[in-house]
Amino acid sequence: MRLRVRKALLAVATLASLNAVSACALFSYSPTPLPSEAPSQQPAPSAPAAPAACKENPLASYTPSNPLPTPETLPAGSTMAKIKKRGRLVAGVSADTYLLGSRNPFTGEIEGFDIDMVKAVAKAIFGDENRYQLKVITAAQRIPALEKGDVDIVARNMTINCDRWKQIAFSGEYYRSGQKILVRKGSKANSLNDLDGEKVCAPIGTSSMDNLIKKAPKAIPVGADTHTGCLVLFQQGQVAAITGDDTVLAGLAAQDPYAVVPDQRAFTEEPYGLGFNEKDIDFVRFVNARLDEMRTNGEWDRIYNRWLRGSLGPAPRPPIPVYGRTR
Amino acid sequence: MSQASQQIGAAGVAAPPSAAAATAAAPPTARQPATVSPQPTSGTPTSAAQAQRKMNTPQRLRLLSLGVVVAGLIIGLIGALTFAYLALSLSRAKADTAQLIRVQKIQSNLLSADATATNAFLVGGLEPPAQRAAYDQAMSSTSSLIAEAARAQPADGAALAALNQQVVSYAATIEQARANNRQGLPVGAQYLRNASADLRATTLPILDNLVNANAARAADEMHAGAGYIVIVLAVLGLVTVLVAQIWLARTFKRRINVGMLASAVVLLLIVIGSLVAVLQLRSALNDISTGSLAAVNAAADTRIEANNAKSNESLTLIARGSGQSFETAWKSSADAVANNLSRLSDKPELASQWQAYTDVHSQIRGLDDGGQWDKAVAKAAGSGKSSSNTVFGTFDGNLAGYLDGVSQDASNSLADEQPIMIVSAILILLAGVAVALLGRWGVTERLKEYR
Repeated sequence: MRLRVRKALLAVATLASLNAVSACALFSYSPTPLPSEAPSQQPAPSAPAAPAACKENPLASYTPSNPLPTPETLPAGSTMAKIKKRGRLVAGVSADTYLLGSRNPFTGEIEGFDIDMVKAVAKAIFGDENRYQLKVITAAQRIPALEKGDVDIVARNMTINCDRWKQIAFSGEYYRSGQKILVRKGSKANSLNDLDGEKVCAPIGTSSMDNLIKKAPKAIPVGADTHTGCLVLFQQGQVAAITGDDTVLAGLAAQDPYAVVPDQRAFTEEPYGLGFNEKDIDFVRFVNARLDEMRTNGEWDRIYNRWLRGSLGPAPRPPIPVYGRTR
Repeated sequence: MSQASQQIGAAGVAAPPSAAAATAAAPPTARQPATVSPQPTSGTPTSAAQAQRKMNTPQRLRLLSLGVVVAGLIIGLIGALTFAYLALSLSRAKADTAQLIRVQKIQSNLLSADATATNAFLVGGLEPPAQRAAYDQAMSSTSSLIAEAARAQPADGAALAALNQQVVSYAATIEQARANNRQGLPVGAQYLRNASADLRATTLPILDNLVNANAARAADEMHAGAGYIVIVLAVLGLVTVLVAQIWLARTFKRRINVGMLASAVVLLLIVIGSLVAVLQLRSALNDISTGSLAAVNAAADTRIEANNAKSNESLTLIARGSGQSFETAWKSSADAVANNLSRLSDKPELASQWQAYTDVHSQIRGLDDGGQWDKAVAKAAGSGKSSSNTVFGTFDGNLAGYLDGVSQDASNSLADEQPIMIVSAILILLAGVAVALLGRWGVTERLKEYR
């Protein structure tokens, strides 16, 4: 009896100690949790901007000054005279739109078609094309920068339209761009309609994305932050095509030998203008005169050939500007 | 027992409550006293009860002997197991802390690699060899730390596998960025931005989980609570032995049973010793978690945020004008660093070195916002004495040294507690055996009287 009690007690003690051992030594931690997958970015079609009812032709700018004043004969008190007094023309530009305005990593300089437009204006004011200072701005900063007077001029592939005319002033059209598609080399697609069921990239929140959703409802839209972001997706095989202004696509194609902009008709029209503060009408007239000069003396063609010919083919006729705005 | 309670009930009818209590204290096997002898029972046993006890006492003594032996062994065994468990917890806490430090190091290594890669981008297509070497060093150290961490903590396996995939993909994207940048293509900067953004959006959350999980594990192990079980058990044992002592004294008219007393003294020593050991451990653990371990966490977090800020400084310049979001991120990281540094009061020079860096950063922002991007880049990416890289490097180097120091302190302090627990486990086992033997010896002395 005594023995039995002893045995029972011993068994209980052994069990208890075994439990204690297994509870502390053999116990292992629960696995470290993984963060839940972030939902992938899906472009939502932004509400289509109702085309503003235009009383005037949006392309109509102020009549150019005639004749174009030389750097020595700038009218006293004019915007140009103030800029000259300051010593440099301040321009708002892009630094990541290849061929239009992007930084050359070797020289550190920002260069491109739009930058050459700034240089041409600087030359007209100073007689020296290098008297300019660039401020890199985003697309969304273009209008506020002009309104606040942070920059004298915006040269950043900016489309002229009625809405913007309410806030700022534009020069005459200096380039006619249009939305096109970029595809892989060897692809048979050469229009938006050929991309049904394919993944097509455009920057989120741009008119390029809106047009894509509107005009190719069967294509699968994929968003990125910028066009260069689209190129990364394209190179990684995540999208089959990119859509955007032909100038921008040319810049993308130039960075990738397997990306081509096939021969196609643009499915939108994007007239580019230089942007100004709405009060600087004298400056707009001055620049319009300078642009006219460039169209006739071959300067425009030289700039086009320097930047865009390689990707977009031989120079088209420069767009014919419309004038006569009075406001 | 039922007979005994009947008896007590019967006695209770005839006797005042105090007498009933005395009967209850007396051995319960006394069967007939109340009915046989009508006078109330008292503290001293009646002659009839004495006669009865002569038959039962040896049995009771044997039971007492067994009880003392079992109690001593249980106290010894459970005490030893408890202290062994505490020693084991300490070694697990040490391992968890080491793993915590390891994953924090992975995190700061990755951000430092990112800061170096983004900074090198500012220079142009041709990376400075020193920066390239620093990036390679940070990445290879990250890889070995991940392998080490996976070996050290199987519960982190899945998270570390996911982390490893992310690191491989980050490194690949950075290489693509490099290749494109070397050819002067703007898409290179986009690859860099994507790599940096992915690092922050996907990789760092995995590391945050790893840091939190290991910090929680270490905190869970750093408790001395289990030690109180031993103290409670020993106190119960002490009370039992003292009651037995009183019973023996009353039964045998000897004030003191030497064996039982010795047993009680040993039990008292166990109570005091365990209490000292447990309280000591508790205060040491408290010191570690509010001292060196808190410093480890603050310093690691500071280093992570500081390198995050440095990356964002470069990304702001790379984005040229479109970089406002990076500057906002810089500010929030910088605030976190300043906040953490105020907690590291034992190293005041870190705060002034960080201040020096934020001054340089303000100059860079001033230059860039004033249209002098080239000069801003020269200050941000150069290697001159007042360049961002040099000033930040001084801060980061000192902080890394301090972090290594406090990590070592935390690990050492935990290691210091382990031998105390192991010695306590051995001592309590021996003491338990002593309680059993001494008690048994004491009872055996009384048993001899019946031979």
